Amino acid sequence: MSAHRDEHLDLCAALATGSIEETDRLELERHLAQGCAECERALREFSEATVALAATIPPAMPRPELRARVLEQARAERPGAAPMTARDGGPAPGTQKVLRLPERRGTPWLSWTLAAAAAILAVATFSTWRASETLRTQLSAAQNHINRVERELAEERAWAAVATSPGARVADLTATPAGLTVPRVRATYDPASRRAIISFQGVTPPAGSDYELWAILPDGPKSLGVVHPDANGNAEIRVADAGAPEALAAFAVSLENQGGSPDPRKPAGPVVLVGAIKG
Amino acid sequence: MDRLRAGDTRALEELYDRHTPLLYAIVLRIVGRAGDAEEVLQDVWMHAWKRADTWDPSRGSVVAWLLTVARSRAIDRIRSAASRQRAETAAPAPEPARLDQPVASAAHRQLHERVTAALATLAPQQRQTLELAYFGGLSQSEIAERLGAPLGTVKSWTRQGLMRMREMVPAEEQT
Repeated sequence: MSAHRDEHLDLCAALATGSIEETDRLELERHLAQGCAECERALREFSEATVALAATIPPAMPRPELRARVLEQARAERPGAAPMTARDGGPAPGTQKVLRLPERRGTPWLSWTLAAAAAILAVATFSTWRASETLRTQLSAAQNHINRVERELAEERAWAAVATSPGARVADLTATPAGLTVPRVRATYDPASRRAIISFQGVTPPAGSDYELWAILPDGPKSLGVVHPDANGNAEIRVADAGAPEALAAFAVSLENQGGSPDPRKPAGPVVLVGAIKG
Repeated sequence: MDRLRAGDTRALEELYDRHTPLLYAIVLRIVGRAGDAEEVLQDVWMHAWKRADTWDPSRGSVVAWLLTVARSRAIDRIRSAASRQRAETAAPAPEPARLDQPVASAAHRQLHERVTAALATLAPQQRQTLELAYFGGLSQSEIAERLGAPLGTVKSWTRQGLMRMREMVPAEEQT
């Protein structure tokens, strides 16, 4: 038997904050299974205190699309489709009922045996629910992961197709007269998808400077972003739409003050590399 | 909640509008990435939709129940190795729209200000303990190790901190 002790309230607080140790959780489950109004009340109070704790984070909204997605999924999946609910006999979070056996006249050993059986049943059903909930969470996480990987794979295939496209056009950018010690840059452009991959090697801009990539179009240059090299001086910029094949004339690289040109349509610094796109 | 259990999507919309600012904020705080947070939150709302009958009013308010589900799912997400790997390789998701102006957020903002002030009045160890437990997903022994405090002391800090938050923020002020 597990009579109420002050320490049980510590366990209730730990449970409410999700930080309870496994052994403590089992102890608390055993205790609650025997019925403890004080702990039930404490759990309720601590649960509400966590609402206050959560509200210390500034409120934020997700993108509006999420609301539409949730409602769409809700319309497709009506309540009651869950594999296991309280109606099925499995207690759920916050719904585990304290098992109170009706008072019966009988031999003390029988009452004790029934109480012990009730406690074991409560723990067993709670554990079953926990296991079910854990599996469900893992399954959901796995499915989300698969979906994410599939999206990433499709994305990677699309980028790989740039290099393998029969119509791919390649430009090795060469130093202009203004060029100093410049990186080696190769641009691969797929006219079909209009995607481009620009690979950089030996990117070591002077202190306080950045290289910036440009697409040269009929109406002038268009910034494709500042080059951020890794520790080895390598970088890759992927451009989802580098422009129409008839419009894209060349790629160029300028040397800018740190952060890039203030005007996305005009380099502020010298153009140090340029490479025409050839079919 | 009766309407939700009966499959009334209008009830779901109302709950979503009322509680999403709080739920999304905590999920985002825990998982750290907007894309992951949205996935987790969608999962939370589907749980609320399909398993509304698991909410027990004797154990706490609807928002407390939703928060328990949301926090649990968010902690699960950061604990999964797959999620960690994604965090290293995936492109950052768009930033969420912050609730700066909308009228609907006035209650949330007021509550936020109130509880932030309440949290600031806690002893530093109590505050740290609550934050490491609730937002960081650390167990009591992990918190004890992190703070270099005895386990029993951490248990006391947790309880005292929660009691203090509860005293300073009565139920009627919560959303």
